Parts: sequence; structure tokens; C-alpha cells
Amino acid sequence: MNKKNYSVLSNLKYSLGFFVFYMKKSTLFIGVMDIVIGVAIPFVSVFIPSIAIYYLTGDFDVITSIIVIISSIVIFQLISILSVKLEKTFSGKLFIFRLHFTKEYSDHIIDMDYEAMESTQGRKQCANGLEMVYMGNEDGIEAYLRYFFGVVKNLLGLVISIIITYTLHPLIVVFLILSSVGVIYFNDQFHKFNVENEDFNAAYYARNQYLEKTSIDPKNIKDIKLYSMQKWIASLYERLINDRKKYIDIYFNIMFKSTQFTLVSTFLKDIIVYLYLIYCLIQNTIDVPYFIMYVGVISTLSNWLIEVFNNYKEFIRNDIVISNFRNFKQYGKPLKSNGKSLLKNEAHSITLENVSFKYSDNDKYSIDNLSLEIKKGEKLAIVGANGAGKTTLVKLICGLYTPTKGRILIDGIDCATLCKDQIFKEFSVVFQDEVIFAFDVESNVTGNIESKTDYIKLEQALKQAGIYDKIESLPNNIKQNMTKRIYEDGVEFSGGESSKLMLARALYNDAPVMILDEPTSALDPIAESILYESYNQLIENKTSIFISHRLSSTRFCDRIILLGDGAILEIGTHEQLMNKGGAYHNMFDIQSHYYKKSEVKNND
Amino acid sequence: MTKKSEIFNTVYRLLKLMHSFDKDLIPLSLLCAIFSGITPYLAIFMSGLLLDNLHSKNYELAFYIVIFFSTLIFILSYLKEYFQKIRCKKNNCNEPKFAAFIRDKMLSYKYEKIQSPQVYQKLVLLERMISISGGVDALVAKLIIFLKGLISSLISFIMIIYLCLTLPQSDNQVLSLIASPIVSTLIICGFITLTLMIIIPKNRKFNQALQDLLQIQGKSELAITSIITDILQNYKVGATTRIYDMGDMLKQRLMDVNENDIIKCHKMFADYITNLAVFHSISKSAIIVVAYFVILVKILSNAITIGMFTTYGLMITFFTSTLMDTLSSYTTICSISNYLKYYLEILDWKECEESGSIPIEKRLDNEYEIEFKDVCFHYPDTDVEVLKNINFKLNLKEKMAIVGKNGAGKSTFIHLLVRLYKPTSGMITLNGIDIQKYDYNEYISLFSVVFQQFKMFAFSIKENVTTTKNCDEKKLREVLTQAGIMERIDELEQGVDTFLMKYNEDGVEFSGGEMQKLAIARALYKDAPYVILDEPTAALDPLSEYEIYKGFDAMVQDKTSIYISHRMSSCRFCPNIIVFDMGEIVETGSHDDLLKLDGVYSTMWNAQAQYYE
Repeated sequence: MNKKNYSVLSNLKYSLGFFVFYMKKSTLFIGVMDIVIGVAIPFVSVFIPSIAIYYLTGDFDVITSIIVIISSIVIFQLISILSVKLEKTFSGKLFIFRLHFTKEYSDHIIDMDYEAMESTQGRKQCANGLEMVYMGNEDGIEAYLRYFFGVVKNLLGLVISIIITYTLHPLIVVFLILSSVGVIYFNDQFHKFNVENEDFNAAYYARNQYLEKTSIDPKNIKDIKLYSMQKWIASLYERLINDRKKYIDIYFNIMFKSTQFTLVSTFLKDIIVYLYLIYCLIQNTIDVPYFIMYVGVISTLSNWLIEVFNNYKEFIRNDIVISNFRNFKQYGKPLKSNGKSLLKNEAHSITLENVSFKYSDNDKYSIDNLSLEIKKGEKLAIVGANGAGKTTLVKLICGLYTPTKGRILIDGIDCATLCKDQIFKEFSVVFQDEVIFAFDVESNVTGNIESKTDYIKLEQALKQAGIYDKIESLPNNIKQNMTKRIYEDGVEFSGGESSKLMLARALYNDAPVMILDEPTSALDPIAESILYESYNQLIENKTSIFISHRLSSTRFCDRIILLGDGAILEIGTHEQLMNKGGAYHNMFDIQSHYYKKSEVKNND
Repeated sequence: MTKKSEIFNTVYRLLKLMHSFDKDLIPLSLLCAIFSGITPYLAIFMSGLLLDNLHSKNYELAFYIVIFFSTLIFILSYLKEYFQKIRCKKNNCNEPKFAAFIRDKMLSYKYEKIQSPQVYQKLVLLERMISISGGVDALVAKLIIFLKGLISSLISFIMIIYLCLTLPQSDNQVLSLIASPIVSTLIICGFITLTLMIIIPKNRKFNQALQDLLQIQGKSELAITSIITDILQNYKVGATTRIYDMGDMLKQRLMDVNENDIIKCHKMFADYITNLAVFHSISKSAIIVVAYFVILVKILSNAITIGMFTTYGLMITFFTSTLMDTLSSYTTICSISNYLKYYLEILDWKECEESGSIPIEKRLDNEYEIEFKDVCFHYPDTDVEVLKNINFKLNLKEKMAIVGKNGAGKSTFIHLLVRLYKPTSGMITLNGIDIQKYDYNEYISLFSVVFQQFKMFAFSIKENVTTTKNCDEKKLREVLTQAGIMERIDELEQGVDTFLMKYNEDGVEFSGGEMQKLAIARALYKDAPYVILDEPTAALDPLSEYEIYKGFDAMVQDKTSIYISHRMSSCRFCPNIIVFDMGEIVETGSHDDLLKLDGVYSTMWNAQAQYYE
């Protein structure tokens, strides 16, 4: 996927477009008002002492002076209050907007093509997507718009104060800009340092967060206690802190340099401006009220200038975030069907023709030129050593991966012509890693919104998976929340119970093809045996694939394939493979070794 | 809202802790507060003096005033920034230091307490709060603002009193009356007091409302974080969500949490903040207007010079914003100390410290005898007896196996043995003495355990296996070879220094089977007299499983070993097999004895063996 570059203008249009879409149009008006008032305030505040001094030194009667001065102060205060209201309201709106915008991120990531997401690039893309909405108010779309408004506001203020200062003397403007350029230069150095260390920082935060969570996660405590990892964890923290210290030292040194420069330039600026203004007073080109006004305006000028640059810098930094997000939205876009299935709802035949597959960040083929025909309603077993490619093969068959070479056909229809969601519909898969969500039991099994639950089917699936009684015993039955990640009363299942729940999920889904990847590893012998016995019934009228390290499971399958290094080493029924006396025979012997009645001696 | 004394106490204890980390921090913070409290007043004084002299056309003195004050401001600001720099450098690592300190303490507590999900949730929430609103760093920063505010307020107060005490010299009766010390003092001080009396309770109310909101918000934050990081960003879960077409449900859930909880909360939050800011702004403005009125009257009645209009004007503006800052810094201090309090609570869990002090007799011959005497146990939150009347002696240097159905109490038995939990009744003894009486760390050093759900961490392989910083490289290679994983590691570019998991760019994702081998290597590295394997080979293929068991038999020769496995074959040659059922030991003996009994064991054996015959 090529990275597209978006122009600042197009990013602005994009962001403002969404802002208007999610918020009311009038919200934009608040932003504009915020700019107008924000620019006006410093100037109004500058004029007040001038007015006051003018009235106090001139020949006005007491009442007039008091009324004029006090009312100008009151007006100014009212504007200030309005400004606070506008500013806070608008920044609140921007924040709410970011929260709404989260939908743009989550909708895409939920639908994103699995293979694309899983790759290294995909994970980067997803992190980019998240940065847009989830990294606080200094990164992402909220910050982008806030800083955009900041740039406009400060630019406006700058122009006005330059015009006013220009009437005093053009050289003063030049001098002020030059002295601010120094500050900007140092700020820029500081910014560069931050950019250079972005990776270091990101790594630090990631490490810190990982350590923070890992060291207290209830699931880890057993190992931590038993292996006395307390000291190790302390030393990991120490390392983290020491690395950080070096960075922090440099960070604050650079920052101090910039501060030093600011202090010196402010010092010089004050003296020069004051002395020049005193000179003007002596020359009688200005009077005292003007003196006060100029002091005020000039002090705002450098401020506007520095703020323009600070805002601009952050604006541009976030412009990259917006571009990245738009790339993320284009990345791994799935082809969605109209929801109709092209396949009949019955057991399928699956054909693999010279299928090869390699992961995008790998140069070795994980599946190498593999051809296989699974007949309609067949019970297939896949065995093989750890890392032989069993799980990869399953993910290819059910459409999560697309073959690098070759093709896969379901009922003779090339999968490449189908949309992914159409393929997924045909499979119920129990993957090796148990996936339990912090939702209630019902949602965990049905995977759908509550109103679509078929309760009869749900009960049946739970019963078939042998987990019904357990769920009946829970305080809230199927509405019981799971895991303690969020819920204090969330229920945690044991390994065996979790596998049964996973099975129930597959049964409820009731797709024409059922794939079980290591479903028995956490089951006790009795539960395992029950699953084997009921297996035929569970997969009635379905095509099925069973993956297991327990070779006993192969006994009730029609055909077994032994996978090694991404290729089929042996294929056939249990008897055929045993007679062949090859790798399968060897594997089976090793496992069944101790179960045999004949051999009672321990030969090890 | 917590009581004042409690807040004070929390802040005091936190500062004391911080002081114990770094002795310079508090003096530096004081210096920062003093300098930043004083400096603004120099500019304020300068403006008035300058104006007066310009007004009276005293240009030479004006020149000197500019030079003198500018220089003084420069020097003081420079000092302030300098101290600030040193302070920031020191302060910035306080967060992880605190986290590390708390964890170190916490991990020395009893398992039962620290494994509780509530503790975890509270800590996660606390640390999420720290990342949102700041922790001890922010506390110090806010304390400095608070202190600075007090100093500034004091200076302002003196100035205001001075202003009030100036005597009017005017013919105008009304002006003279208002400008008289008593009346002007009454006006300004009265009004400030009045405003404060309104602001402070209102502030407190706002703060309380914010706290309540934060509580609710914390819950929904947890929910959305869980959906985003555990599900959406987690590619491992992606396969399941796609196959089962869970997209709609996830979108719906996210919508519910985001729109209904989070956004609603934040809208209220934003409204509160806006209202509070507007309210502060109004109070400020009111004080400013009244003060200006008095200043004007004082000038018009010739009590003070015209130049003082800017001095007092600037002062009063500065004073009001300092006042608001001080008030809101106090509020923040309260809310920060309110959640940081939990850190201190953890430190106070004295009753959760591991008991026992008797050292373990170091024996090279590994002659340790452990006995269970009438041990019963139920988990703290339920009444269901998980173990009932267990009487049992661990034979020395023997291979032993525990079998039983899921939930029969096998793992719990191990938990009690390694002191993760304490028996509800009965006693476990080591060489005749209750195991609770031994020093915890020494006792635990007797056991190498591979748990069913063992955990590895995203650090280097070397550190994961040795669980220390310093390690014995030779021994490390030895155990990795024994666990059958050395070859795989040697293939990696960085060998044993490779990081596990993809948290790092160059981290390596190991398969479940490979991880299991690493966990076994870790147990071997510990080299303890008791070796316990709880389902260690569930994810391994038959060949790897075979290799591991073979290797283990050699490793545990002069040790006592306990196997728990659902693969009955692995237990067959243990001379002593214990069968658990419903929390009780129902059968013991060798494989042949047990088969003859025709009980639980034989049912289980046959259930599995039938497929291999």
C-alpha cells in the first residue's frame, strides 16, 4: 500500500468537514468568535491605562473621569468574561468532537482486512489510526483544529500589533521581529530534539506502561512471587529511570538555553524600547498616554509572533497525524458484499490448488505449494510438529489469509471472486488462543447484538459444548459479565471451561464448515473423551477440520494429513498411515507408547 | 470531600517519601516559589515609578529606573529559571520512582491480597488518573503555585493596606470621605472577603461534583480502553471477531460506551469547567472594578500619584488572577492527593506482609520433608470447600503425579504447598514445623514451578529465564538446551538477548509451545529441590513432549518432583500417583495398583488409552 501525501489544505477541509458533520454548524461560529475576542482583548487592555491617564491628567471634572474610566474597565471585564466563556466552550467542543470522531477509527479497524492488519505495517497503520483519537488532547484531530485556530488568532494579533508599532518607527518592528526570531530558533532546536527523540520517548512510555501493568496484573503475580522477580522488576525500573534521566537532562538543558535567550532578549528589548519611547517623549513626538499604549502593544507583539510559531509547529506536527489517519482509512479496506451468500447453506467441498503463502514480513514460504481436496462432509484431521504451518493453513482455508500463489475453491467457486465476509460466513473456527471478551456470556457466544440472539439455539449450543450447567450456576446466568478487567463481579473461567465456551461459540454460529484448532489441550481425559464421542454429532452435516497434538483425535476422522514445513508429508486414513510406517507412525508410537498394555517397563 | 487534616496528612507523607528519594527537591521547590512570587512585583513597581517621573518630566531619573529595574528583573528571573531547571530535572523521574517503590513494597505482600482484581483495578485507575491529571510531579508543581500565590497575596495585601492608609488631600467632601483610610479599607477588604466567602464554598461544590464525575468517568474509561486496546488494537483477537462477524456487536458496544457514557460525562465535565472558569472570571472582574474605583478616588483626592494608577491597577489584576490560581491549585492538590492516597494505603497494609522468620536449613542432600495435616481450604470469596481433609506426606526424591478432572483441586493443592494461599484449617509442615513460620523468600526458594498459565514477559530471553539482571551464562545455555529451545534461540540474530513479544520493534513472537519450553527452562534454572509441573506440555507436539519428559527425568533425579497432567501417559511411571476428586484424595498408589482399583483413575486412563490401542 503506497503512502499518499495529503496537502495541508486538503487535511484542513477533511477535518473541518468532519467537525461540521459531527457538531452543529454554530460550533464553528463559537470558534470564530473566540478568535475575534481573543485578538481584541490584549489591545483593549492596552488602551485602558491610556484612557485613564488621559482623563486623569486632562481637565475633566471628577464625575466624568470616574464614569468614563470605570465604564471602560467594566466593558473590558465583560469582554474578558465572554472570552473565557468562548474559549472554554470551544475547547470543550473540540474535545467532544474528537470523542465522536473515534467512530471513524473504530469502524475502519473493525472491518479492516485481517491479513493486512496483522502484518507489521498493519500494526503501524493501526497505531497511526489510534493516534488520531486516543492519545490525549495534544495529538490528533482535536489538537490539529485547536492549533489551527491558534495560528489564525495569533497571526491576526500579530498583524494588528505590527501595524500599530509601525506608526512609532519601522525599525522598532524590525528589531522586535529579529529578537523573536532568536527565540523561535531555539524553540525550533528544542522541537528538533523532541522529534529526534520521538522513538525513544515512545519506547519509554510503552516500556513504562508495560512494566506498570505487567508487574501488578493478577495473572502474573504467581510467577512473580514464585520466581522472586521482585528484585528483577525493581532493577527493570531502575534501568528505565536511568535511561530516562539522561534524556531528561539534555531536554531541560536545551530548554534552559532557549529560556536564557528569551530572558536576555526581553531584557534588551525592554531597555531599548523604553529608552526610545522616553526619547520620543523628550522630543515631544508622543505624550504619556501614547507612551503607555506603545509599551503595551510592543509587549504583545513578540508574544503574538512567538505564539504564531508555536501554534504553527504543533499544527504541522498534527498535520502529519491527519495524513497518517487518512492513509490508515485507505489501508486494508475490505471488499464488502451485499450480505447475500453465493453458496448453498450445506457442507462444502474445499479445494486447494498449488497454494503457497508467505507472511508479508517474511521471505520464507509458510505454506509451500500445497494441494488438497476436502470432500463435502469430510472429517479431516491435521497433525504436525509445532510450527509446521497448521494454523496458517486453517487461516488460509477460512479466508483470513489470501494465498500468495495458487487458489482455493469452495464448492468449485474461486475464493478470490468472493468477498471476505462471504467466505467467513461459511466457517466456524475455534482458534488456539481463547478469546474471551469483557462482555456478558451471551454476547461472548453469539457475537451479535442482543436483539438478534436466538435463545433456543444458544441453550442448545451451551448444552452441546458441556458448559450449560456451569453457566446456570452463575449468579446472572447468560447475562453474567465475564472477566475481571472491567467488572468487579466478572467471572473468570478456568482453561477447560474457556475451551468449552469457545466450542459453544462455534456451535452457535453453526456454519457449514467447522474448524477446531487444539480444542482439547486444556480438557481433562473425561471431558476430552466426551468431546470425541460427541464429535460426530456436533459436526453432523458439516465439513470439519480437527487440529490436535493428541493423536487419539485422529481416530474418528476420515482422513489425516501430516503437515511439516508447510507441505503435506503424509496423507491418508489412520490405518493407511500406520501401515506406511513413516513420520506419522513414529509420532503415534511415541505418544501411545505409555498407553500400551504390552509395554510396562520404563525404558528411559 | 476529604477532610483538610487528611489532605494535609497525605501531602505531608507524600512529600516525606519524595524527600527520602531526593533531599534537594523540597528546598529547590521553596526557592522557585519565592522567586516567582516576588519577581512580578518589580515590573509593577517600575511601571508606576516610571510614569510618575515621566509625568513630572523627570527624564533622567526615568532612565535610571528603567536600567535598574530591568536589570533586577533579569537577574531574579534568571535565578528562578535556573532553580526551576534543576528542580524539573529531579522531579521528572519521580513518577516511575514512585511506581517502582509501590510495586516493590506490594510484591512483598501476600499473594492472596495482591492478586485481587480490585487492587489491580484500583491501581490501574489510579495510574490512569496520574497520566491524565498528574501524580507527584503535578502535586509538587501545584504546591509551588500555591505557595507562590500565598507569597504574592501577602505582598499584594500589604500594598492594598498601604493604598488604603494613604490620606486624601482634596476639597471634595465626598471624595475625601471615600478615600479616607477607614472607608477605603472597608470597601476593598470587605469586598474581597465577601467574594472569597462566595467563591470558596462554590469552589468546593464544583470540586465535589468533578470528583463524582471522575469516578463515573473512570469506569467508562476502563470500558472503552478495554475495547480499544484488548479488542480493536489486538490483532490476535481479530481472527475470531471476523470469522464470527462480530463487527456489528463491537460497533454497537463502542457506540454505547462512547456516546452514552463517555461523551455524556465529558459534556458535563466541559460544562462544569466552563462554568467554573466563568464564575472565577466574574469574581475577578468584580474585585478589579471595585478596586479600580478606590484607586481612582485615591488619585482624584490626591492621596496617591497618577503613576500609581498603573502600579495599583497591575497589582490588583495580578492579585486577582493569583488568587484564583491559588484557589484552583488548592483544589487540584486536594483531588491529586485524593487519588494518590491509595498509594499510601498500599504501603500501610502491614497485615499483608509475609509472615515467618525461621531460616531454611540449607541441605545439599535436599532432605526436606513436607506433610499435609488435615488441610481444608476454600477460597476467601466463596464457601465452597475446594480441598477437604487432605492428609498426605511428600516422599523424598520421588516422582509423583497428581491426576483428576478439571476443578478437582489439583492446582489448589499446589497453591497451598507454595504458600500462595494459607489453609483454612489444618497445617502444612516442613521438617515438622508449620511452613508459615519459615521466612517466605527462603521457603519459596525450595520450589521450581511451571504453572498451567505461566507468564513470560516482554524482556530479553536471558532475563526471562534467569529472572535477574546478572546471570550465569553457562547455566543458562545448559537449561535452554535441556528444555530443547537452544537451537531455536541460536538461530536468532541476538541470541539470548532477543526480546520476547512484539512490544519492541525487534522483539520475537514465540509460539505457545516455544514459550512453554522457555518456562520449563526458567524452572530448571532455578534449580530448586522441589520441581512442580502443572500441565507443562499442553501446547507441545508429541515429539517435543517426549523430549521434555525425557529431559526432565534426568534433571529431577535427586529432587522431589510433582507432575500434574491431563495426559495420563506422562504419569504412568510415577511410583506414586495421587488421584483428586471433588477436593479429596480418593486414590493413591502406582499405576498398576490404581488400575486394579477400577475407580476414578482407571476411568480416566481408559477414557484416553482406548484411542491408542
